[in-house]
Amino acid sequence: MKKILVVDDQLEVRELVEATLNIGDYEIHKAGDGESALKMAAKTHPDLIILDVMMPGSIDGYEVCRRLRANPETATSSIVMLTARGQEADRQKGKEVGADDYFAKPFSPLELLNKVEEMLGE
Amino acid sequence: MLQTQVPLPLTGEREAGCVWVPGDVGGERGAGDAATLPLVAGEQVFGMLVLHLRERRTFSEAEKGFLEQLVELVIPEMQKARLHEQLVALNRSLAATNAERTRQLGNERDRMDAILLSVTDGLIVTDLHRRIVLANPAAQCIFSISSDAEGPTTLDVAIGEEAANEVVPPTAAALHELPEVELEVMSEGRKVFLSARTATVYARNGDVLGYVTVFRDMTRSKELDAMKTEFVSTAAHELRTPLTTLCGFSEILLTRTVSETEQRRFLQYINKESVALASIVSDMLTISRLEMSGADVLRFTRCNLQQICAAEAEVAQRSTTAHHIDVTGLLPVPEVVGDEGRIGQIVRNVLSNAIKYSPKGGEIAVACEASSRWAIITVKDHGIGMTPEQVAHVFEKFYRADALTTAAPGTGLGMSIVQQVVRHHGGAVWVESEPGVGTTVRVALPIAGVEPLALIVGQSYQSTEALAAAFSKDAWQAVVCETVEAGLATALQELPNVVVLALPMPEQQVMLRELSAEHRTGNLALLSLAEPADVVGIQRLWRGRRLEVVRRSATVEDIVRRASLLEGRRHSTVEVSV
Repeated sequence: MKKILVVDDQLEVRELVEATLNIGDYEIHKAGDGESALKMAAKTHPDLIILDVMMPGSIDGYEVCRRLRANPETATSSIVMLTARGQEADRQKGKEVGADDYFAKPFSPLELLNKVEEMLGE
Repeated sequence: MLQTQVPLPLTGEREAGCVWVPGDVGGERGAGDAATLPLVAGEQVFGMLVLHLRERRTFSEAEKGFLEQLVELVIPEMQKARLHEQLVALNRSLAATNAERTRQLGNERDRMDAILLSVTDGLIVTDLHRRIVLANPAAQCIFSISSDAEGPTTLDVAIGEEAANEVVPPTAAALHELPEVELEVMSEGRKVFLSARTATVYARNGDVLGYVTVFRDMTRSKELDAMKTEFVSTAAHELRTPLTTLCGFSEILLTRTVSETEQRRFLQYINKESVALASIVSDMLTISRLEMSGADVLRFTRCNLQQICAAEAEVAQRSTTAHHIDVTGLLPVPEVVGDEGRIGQIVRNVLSNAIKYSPKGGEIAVACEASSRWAIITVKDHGIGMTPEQVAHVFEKFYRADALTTAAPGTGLGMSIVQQVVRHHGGAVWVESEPGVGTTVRVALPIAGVEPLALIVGQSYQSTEALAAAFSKDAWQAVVCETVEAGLATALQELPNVVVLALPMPEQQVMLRELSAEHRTGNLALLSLAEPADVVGIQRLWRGRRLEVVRRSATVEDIVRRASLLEGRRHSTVEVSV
């Protein structure tokens, strides 16, 4: 069973992604900020991480992505960044820190599901 | 020369122009000879020498000869005298013309200077080798060019060779007007963005004399642009966040079968986020309208602050069990002229922040009290507090101190709205905070019927008394302070509605810095009496706050008028309903 880690500071969004992906056969973990996301990633080794960009606290989504890539234990996960800022510069930055794809909010759950299925090859 | 009353003898012999009139020697009247000797040189007639002999005799030949010689001697002297007169007259007329010309030149120079001085953009005239021929005061200020040949003397030195090559390229002589160039320079330790436009200067015969470049300071424009872009970007983000929930959950409900419990939960999220979205949109519209037209959206009546605060405190208390809202400090205060709904909103916003930023619960005190001219609302919490850095940004749109969480209730516009509303009421708001200890927010609103106070800081030779009188005439109270120290003390104590700075520029700058540093005075409305060249400097010291700069030569009535506009309340347009 594929493991997915959902990182977003908003409870509703975490629930939304979970509800979206529940239909598939995935083990879903959730984290509400950068620090716990890194811890959880190291612990559970998810196949896919859905990562919000704008998060409060000392590290934002980009930094989390960078660190995930830097850590050999977590470097192999696929990473999709989620953000309400959809400008080209933000997409660029996502690429720079090593994200595999970029999803703009608000998103259609169906589309997200399709993307996840595509990335996890099921 | 003998002059008698006897009529001029014009008849008689003429000898070389002289008229010798024989007298009636033997006759009854017994007159001697008379003679009329004209004093003439060529075309010029100087006069006549008229002689009558008293004795009854005729002129002897010797006498005639003598007289003729006399005439010969006198004429040149008279010629000289006349020439001298003419010379003096000519001299006088020349001197007058000279004086007039000099005066005109002086006027021209003064006019040119006045024009150059009042141009707030920097103006530099360079010759063919990019040497600086003329720089107006604004340019001297930006590029630190001094008039006594210290500092840059060529454009290359002033802005760097690369920039100079762009602003006045080597091919410039072939072009009449060159394209605009954007530059970045360090001026007085700050980065300044300039837009440079150059035109070629021609002599009458078409030769290129040099170039004139106008430098416009775009720093503020760029900052405003950056702020607008930031606002749009952040606003988009703020709106998309609740939309995520709305779009996402509604789609799931439509496309999937979910349990009833889940249905209910998802619908709750949808509802909650819709309300949040409505709130954001409403606040965004409020702040936009307040910033644009201001008074149009406010309806003024007499307000009872104690009641308004009590009502809001009650609502706030109902929203939390972890906090206790202490209202014992809510004292009756004199009525304030204001928009009741908006005043309620600002109390609500401040209370909401106090609750939000005291996550561990605790006491929140709401109080109101009055001084002689102000009704002051104070909200004090014992929450997480803010660093000085955070306090400096607290009124910025969408700024969230510590960005607790984007999920926290609130739009990020609460304090911006508070500031705008307070400004439109002619009041002031300031924040004191200490991390780990708590935050106190104070809002001061002017008491109805109390005249606004103008604090005039300047020396008597700067017509401060006349200005004070003009303010009094317009139903203000006016206080004059002669020094920066006295001015600061009074400002802190009285919180004047407008501070008029008449001091010389160096003292004004000191005072601006001191006023900035104090929370209470940091948001006062300032009116500075200064010259155009100083405007940019003053704006930098009082950025983003209420400031008017008026020329020193303005009439006191003008100054009072500008102060009234600055103060924020449009006295004449306020409708007061009972």
